[in-house]
Amino acid sequence: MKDFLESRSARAGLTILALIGFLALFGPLIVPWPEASTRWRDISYWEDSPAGAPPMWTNGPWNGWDAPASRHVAAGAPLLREGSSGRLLTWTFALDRGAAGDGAAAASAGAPEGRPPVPEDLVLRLPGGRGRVFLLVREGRADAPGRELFRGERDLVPDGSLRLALPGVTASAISATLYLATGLSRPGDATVFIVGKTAGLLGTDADKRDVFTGLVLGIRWALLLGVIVSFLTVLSGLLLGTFAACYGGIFGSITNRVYEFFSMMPLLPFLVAVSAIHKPSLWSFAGLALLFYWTRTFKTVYARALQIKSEGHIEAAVLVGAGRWWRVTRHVLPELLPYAFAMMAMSVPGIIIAEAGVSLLGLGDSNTVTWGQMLHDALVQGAVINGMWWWILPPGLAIALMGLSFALVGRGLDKVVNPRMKGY
Amino acid sequence: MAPFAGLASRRVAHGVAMYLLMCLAYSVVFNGVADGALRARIDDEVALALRQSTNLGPSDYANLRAAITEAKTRQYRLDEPLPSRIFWRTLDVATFHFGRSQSVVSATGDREVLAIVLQALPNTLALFGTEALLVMFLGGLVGIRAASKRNGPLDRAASVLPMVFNGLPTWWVGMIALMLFSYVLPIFPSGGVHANPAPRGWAGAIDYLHHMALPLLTLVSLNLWNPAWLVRNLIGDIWHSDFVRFARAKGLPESRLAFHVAAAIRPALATMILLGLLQSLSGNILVEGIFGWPGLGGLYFAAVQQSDVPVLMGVLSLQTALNLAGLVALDLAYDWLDPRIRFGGSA
Repeated sequence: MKDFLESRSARAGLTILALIGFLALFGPLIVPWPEASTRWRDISYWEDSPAGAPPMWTNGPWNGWDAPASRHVAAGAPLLREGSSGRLLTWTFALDRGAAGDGAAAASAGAPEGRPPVPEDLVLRLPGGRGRVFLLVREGRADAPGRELFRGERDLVPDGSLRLALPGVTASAISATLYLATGLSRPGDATVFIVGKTAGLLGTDADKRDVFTGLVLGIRWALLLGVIVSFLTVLSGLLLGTFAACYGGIFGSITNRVYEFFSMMPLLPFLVAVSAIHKPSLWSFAGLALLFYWTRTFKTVYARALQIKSEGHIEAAVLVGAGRWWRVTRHVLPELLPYAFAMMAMSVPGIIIAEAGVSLLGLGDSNTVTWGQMLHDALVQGAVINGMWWWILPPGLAIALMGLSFALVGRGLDKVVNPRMKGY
Repeated sequence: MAPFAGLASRRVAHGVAMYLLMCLAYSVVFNGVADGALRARIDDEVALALRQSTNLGPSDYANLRAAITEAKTRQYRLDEPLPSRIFWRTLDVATFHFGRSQSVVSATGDREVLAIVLQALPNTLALFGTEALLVMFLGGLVGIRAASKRNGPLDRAASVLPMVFNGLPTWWVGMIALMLFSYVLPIFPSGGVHANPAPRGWAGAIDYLHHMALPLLTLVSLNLWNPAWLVRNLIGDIWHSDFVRFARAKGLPESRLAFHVAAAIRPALATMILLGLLQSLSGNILVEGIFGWPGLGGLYFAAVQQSDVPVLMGVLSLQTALNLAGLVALDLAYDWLDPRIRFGGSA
């Protein structure tokens, strides 16, 4: 154990793993879209985000300072002016976007230097509002209105929201004035979403979903599947290999034939075909993987157990009258256990990649958010053709990083159990 | 000679038995959908047969329809009990009688599954055969170089990169490569095996290579590190043996020494190369799918997307047959070359 913790690769691997584990546990609490795990495929949950927007931090003069997506609640109660035929409601939204000046001053000065106004979409949400309204949107606060951005009549969609295309906002606040004819109900707290051209830490996909949120949510499935399946496969390979070697006979030869059968079967095509025909779930994938992956441990364990079986101390145990069961459980298995731990760690990346591969073909579990499914969506919706790197890079890098951390841990274990490898 | 012949026939029989067993497994797993595919086909054929007999009364029409359907059902053995259906399907699949595809069509418009599959095979062999050879050659070279300069930059790369690349999905790297070198910088074509229209003669060959270049480069640059690591470790074991010490004492330069050592691990290298080539026969569903390479994997990719069961079964059984034939041939080659290896030893 001490040797293991002293090896550099093991420490690096464990550090990354700890970080990944932390994100898997607390990730859902820190992501900007907390309901994403249950509403990933719910279009209405994502409707206010821009579609296919690059990450926020790509903003700069090279893309004309595309506005990042942002949400603003109206500051205080609306300014109210009653008339004979209806009333005017005016809300102010502070945009805190760091633009120069306020209200009329900024509007008359035009765009601040280095930041020409960029046309953008804006969603105004008026809960409880209904019907056709007259709307006026201006830069600046309600008491000091500036340049006019939008003027016209619009229908509120049933949930009370309204999407406007604006010529571009440069001020740090805008005001929206709504004309309500008498008899129309007054809407509640107004909210403005600036849809923007960039969004979130890692941008959004073509369905407006936040890539960073998906990435964090994918961790737990990859971790869960990789760890459970590799644990079970290595365990079954270990037990079958040891017993087949030590008991031999009919049991040994049957196990070897079954091994041959499964090890020669083309794995991925078979997984894919079965998932295509029988509606896939993460657990059926785990079951199938279990059926195939035990073979990878079996042969090594079998060969090693045959060697151990004929070593001197086992022969001595036979002489003092140890039964076969005693020999297997007290001598052979304990010697093989460290190998098994190394193999468990080393087999995790392969399983994660296999799941991602099956998901890439669109055969993943539709109740979960996995990295493979994100890449499937990216592939199907033309992320490759349109160069949407923020959609393709993160899931793959996450797979690679998780694979690397397990491989590092596995190599650290391997150095301990295979002292011959130490010189390398 | 005689013992070898007996051994050979036993190995071949074993391979054939294994092949039949796998075809049986495919038939069992795909029984439901394959029956569905057959039923759809019978419906098509009945409709076709009825179109020719137009001047019939309604009752005659219904009778004729029932009669044809029944005849077809018997012809395709759909009226037989489940075990018998599975038995006949296993036999059909094992003997490459895959029938007609449901939606996938070959380049020449053929719907015979065998023709479609055989058309895809050469492309897979070209891409993955070349890849296997290049990987072995470059991997061996890197491994030898890495072993001769312990802890040099190449050695460090050879020990770290396999770990990094093992956790990296090849198809994902393919997506990135395609995005960068086919769309952002349009250096390579984005898919297929030739431009449209296909050039002839030498231009055609160059065009084919141009289309193959990006998948090939991606695969080789990722996969060469595993053999490199293996070769490096194999050599590392021999590095301290007496004959190497002698060669060094004799004054052989370090760079030549490595190749001297490599000669000692030739059998292991041969196994590695042959197994690599064998693996290349099956192609790769995801890589071929991403690069739009019309090989066995690409065909499988398309068949999955269109749930074309006959094509799926065809590709699976052809891959299995090739794989098993290759393994049997490999075993036979070992028996022939090395009489110490006997039947029943670990493969």
